[in-house]
Amino acid sequence: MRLVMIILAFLFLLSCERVIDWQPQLTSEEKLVVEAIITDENKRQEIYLSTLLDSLNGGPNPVSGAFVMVENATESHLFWEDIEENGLYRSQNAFAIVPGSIYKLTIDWNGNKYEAWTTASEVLPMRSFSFPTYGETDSVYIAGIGVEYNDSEEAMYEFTIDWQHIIPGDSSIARQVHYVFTSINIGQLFGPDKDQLYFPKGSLVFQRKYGLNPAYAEYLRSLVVETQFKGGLFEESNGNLPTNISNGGLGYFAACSVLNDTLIVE
Amino acid sequence: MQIKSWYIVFIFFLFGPWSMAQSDFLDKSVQISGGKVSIEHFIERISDQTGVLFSYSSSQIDAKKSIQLADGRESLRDILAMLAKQYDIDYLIVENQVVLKRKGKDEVIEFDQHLYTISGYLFDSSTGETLIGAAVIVSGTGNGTISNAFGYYSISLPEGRYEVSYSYLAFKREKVAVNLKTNLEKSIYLKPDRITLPPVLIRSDVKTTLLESSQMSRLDLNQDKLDKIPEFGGEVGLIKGLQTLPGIKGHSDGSAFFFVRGGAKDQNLIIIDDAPVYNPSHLFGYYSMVIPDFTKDIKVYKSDMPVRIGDRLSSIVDIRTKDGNLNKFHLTGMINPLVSRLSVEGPIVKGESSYFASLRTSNIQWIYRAFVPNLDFGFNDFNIKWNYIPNKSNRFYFTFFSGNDLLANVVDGNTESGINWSNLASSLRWNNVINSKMFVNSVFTASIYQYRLILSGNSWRSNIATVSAKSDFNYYPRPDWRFNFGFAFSTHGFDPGSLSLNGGTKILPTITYGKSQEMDVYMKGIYKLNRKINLSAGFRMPMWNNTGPTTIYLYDENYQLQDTVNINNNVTYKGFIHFDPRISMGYAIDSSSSLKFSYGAYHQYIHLLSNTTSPFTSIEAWLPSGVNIKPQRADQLALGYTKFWGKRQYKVTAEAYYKHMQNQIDYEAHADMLLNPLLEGELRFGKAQAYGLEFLLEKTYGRLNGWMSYTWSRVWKKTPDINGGKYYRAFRDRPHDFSISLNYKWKPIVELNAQWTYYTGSAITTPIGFYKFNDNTLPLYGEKNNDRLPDYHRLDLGIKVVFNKPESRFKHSLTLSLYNAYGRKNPISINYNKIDQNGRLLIPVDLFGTADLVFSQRDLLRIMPSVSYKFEL
Repeated sequence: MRLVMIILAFLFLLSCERVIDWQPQLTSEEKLVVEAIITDENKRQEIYLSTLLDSLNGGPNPVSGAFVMVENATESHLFWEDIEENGLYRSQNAFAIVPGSIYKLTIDWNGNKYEAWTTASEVLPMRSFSFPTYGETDSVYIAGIGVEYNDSEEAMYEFTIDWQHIIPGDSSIARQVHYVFTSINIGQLFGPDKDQLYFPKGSLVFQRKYGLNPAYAEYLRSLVVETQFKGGLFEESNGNLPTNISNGGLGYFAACSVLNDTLIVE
Repeated sequence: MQIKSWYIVFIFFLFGPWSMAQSDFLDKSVQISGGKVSIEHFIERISDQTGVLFSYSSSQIDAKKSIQLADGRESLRDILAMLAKQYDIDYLIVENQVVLKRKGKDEVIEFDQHLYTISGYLFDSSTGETLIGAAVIVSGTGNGTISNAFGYYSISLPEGRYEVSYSYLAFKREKVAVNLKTNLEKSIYLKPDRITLPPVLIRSDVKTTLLESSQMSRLDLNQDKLDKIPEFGGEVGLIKGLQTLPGIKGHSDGSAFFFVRGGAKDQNLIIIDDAPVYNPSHLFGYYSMVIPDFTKDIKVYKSDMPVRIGDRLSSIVDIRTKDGNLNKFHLTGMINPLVSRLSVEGPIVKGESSYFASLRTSNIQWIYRAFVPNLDFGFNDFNIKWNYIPNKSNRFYFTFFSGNDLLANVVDGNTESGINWSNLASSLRWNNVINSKMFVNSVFTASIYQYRLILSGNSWRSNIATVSAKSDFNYYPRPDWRFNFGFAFSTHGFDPGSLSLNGGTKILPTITYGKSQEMDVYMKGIYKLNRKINLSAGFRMPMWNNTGPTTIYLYDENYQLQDTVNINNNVTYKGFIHFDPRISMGYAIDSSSSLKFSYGAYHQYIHLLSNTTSPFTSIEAWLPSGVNIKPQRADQLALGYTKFWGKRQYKVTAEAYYKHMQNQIDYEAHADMLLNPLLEGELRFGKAQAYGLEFLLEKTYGRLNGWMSYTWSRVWKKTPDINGGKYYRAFRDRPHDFSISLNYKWKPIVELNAQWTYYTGSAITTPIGFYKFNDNTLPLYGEKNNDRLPDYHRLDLGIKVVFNKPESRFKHSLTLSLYNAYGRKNPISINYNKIDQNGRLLIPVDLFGTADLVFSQRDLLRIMPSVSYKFEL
């Protein structure tokens, strides 16, 4: 009888998801992907340029030989490609964005000119996260990480968690992102199941908070809809992410104020 | 090439047998003695020899007139041809009778001729229930009518003697001789005829089709028909039944959404005793809100919609409930591992007043309680109806129904999180026969749909409420004229989404929407031009007003907020008036086939906003037309052909349609739909066109019966800000849709049924590339809805075993069914953003993670067995 109950429960209550061998018809069009987040830290800022992946799990195809420049009303900065890492462009000089200032990105690649404008955002103070223990183990996790509603702030938290000093190896470092939006999405309420990330007590956590202007927040909200929220029972219709890159480019150019903090999880 | 061949076979299957359709009794031979004989005497002789009945009207045929005959033996067909050729006497075959008429002329009733009226109600003699759509035929005159939605009929004729025949599906035909010298009230109680059900059923169908020959695109879905479909979890359900019909496409497994002739899911109006139901589903769509035992009659209009009901572009599902047995107590029930229901009905005062009460509740807790003890998951319904007949001219009804769903995580008796939705509706009706030619149905309805999401004590809620009063007049001045006219007042209240803190004060963002008032006037005339042609013309004129208090937001051409205007209480800030013409025409090619045409314009003022392709009802909001949302409009042309053949046990209906829709709603990519005061800025408006061909083949006679439907259709949308302004396929664009439902009475106590459904996969948007941003893998989509889900197909099987003898008062049966018998994995979505963790598909959370993303598909309900025990006392 119990077996029947389990079978019926399985049949009725659970929807089934399975891996399929599906071959999407990928375009051969060469699209420029811009990953340009500059900050208010006085440093050599970085911009990464690539094209579409060859497949779902393919590596990025770096874009070399592009002309890259960021400017605002008072200054302009040229970016040069890193000789050791194709596709990565660093500003010639260190500089920090000024909140409220409007910045323009210009990229010239393959005879095509791409432009983007953004308003540098401010950032509000960082909030603290708790690290509860997972069950009876010595492992911890970041509580409530994912997407959060706040009626007065939009932000992105990046956590780089490093426990290589406890368990050496490449797999002892991880990166998680937490978003704060002024809107609520259905995926927040009925999202698909997520993997869990546990790490040992004593891990180093580098916490970084980005203040977001409304347009970049909207871009990141769309990014979350297409990644973390996709695949649930109540998912939204598919759609391309918005972009501020002109001429058919993909990705985003944003100028964010940031806050950093480092802590050891006890 | 394969598809083309398939078409040819299909078309042949549908239309091939038509050429063989004939009335066999016309081939009977008759021995004729030569000489002069009166027509009256001659047809008596033929009747004696062949058993064929003749009827005629003395105003049409001079029965005393002599005709000259020659000796010989002729077929009845040849004799009738001779009468037509030599004596201008034409004939019609109605109900296996030969109806003689003057050639080339119908019985003409002069406009100033004094007419008397036969009118009354048609009842089921066993229960006292009124019979909707029963045929009333005046033999030999070509005149007839059908009973209306409340069982009332009226027909006016010149003074004379007539034989009036009353018939209805599964009831014995009743013939009444009347000597019409004054207005007559004739309420008729028809006796159920279960034994001869199939032939009666089809005869009635023929009559109804001929009598309503200008009405097209209407499908009848009564409980008898639903009972022939294999069940899902103990019930067939309205939506599952609808999906077997041509032109109606279900969303997917487990969904209450359906699409009619290319329309969106909010373009279907479901009314129960005139009260609108905004969400007809339970358990996210697995069950229909309509309790089967409570349902008396379901009519589905896909075009040529009646003027008395309005404000949806694509369909009206008009459900009439049972009144309650006026003669005796009756109890029905069903027990299933998932759902149980019980209905009782009976007289309060015998023959004068009765009640019907029905309760249904899910009992699925036993499935999950052991594994998820805090889960509270289920639904319940309660329906009640009361009716009272104070006298022959008046009748009152009261209907109330409520349906509730709950999915909650309950901790210490408190709902920690969950969702809950409910429909509440009621109607109070007064049927009044003002005089024998005028019938009035006045109804007051109130309906509310509420949706609530609870999260940590806070709740998001949305609702729509409608209160309406309507008077609908049916006027039958002459047998060839019928009018339907009336007016309605409605007020709608909308709350598209607000957040409450612990059930208390609303917190930001505040969304306020005011009220809308609607007034409708309508009129339709149906004119029988001659025996072959029926014309119908009318209009519906809705007048819509929006009033405060509310805040309206004004947007520029880039959908950016431009201005905000606060509207005070009861201040009208936007209004619409439209004139929606409706015309239709029916042409009876012969006694077994007809051709129909219709055109109608339709407007819709309330809209369901939901940017999801999920099959489940989720957090959706209804919004009215207003400053930013223009009313949706559809213009639909339809052409139809109906044919009976093979002793009328087969019926085929073929319809073609073209529908043009304006102000169709689409959404900005990743539209922010929840708790967004600027929700209207997320909407995009365009147009859509839908066209298609529909075929329905029905066999209602014999041990093997059922129906088969096929639809070829397309739906295209065009929205300036989407897909570069180019046409794109709608999600519901599925060119091929086929369904076959078979029922076989294997033994007197055993019935087998099967249903197979196939349709082209829904149009979806899939990636044409991927790229990296901040270590996330993101999709690049091509044109909107550039791809399709795999084709859908499913086989359902059922067997019903009856335990009682036919004459037993206590009836009980067991039904076993298997939904998706061969376990087809019909996907509802395709994804590309998960990792495979030992068979579990999960969203990765470590951006440095090295696990590969996989393509995956989600499906529902692979095999669903079900067993139900039903009883009746």
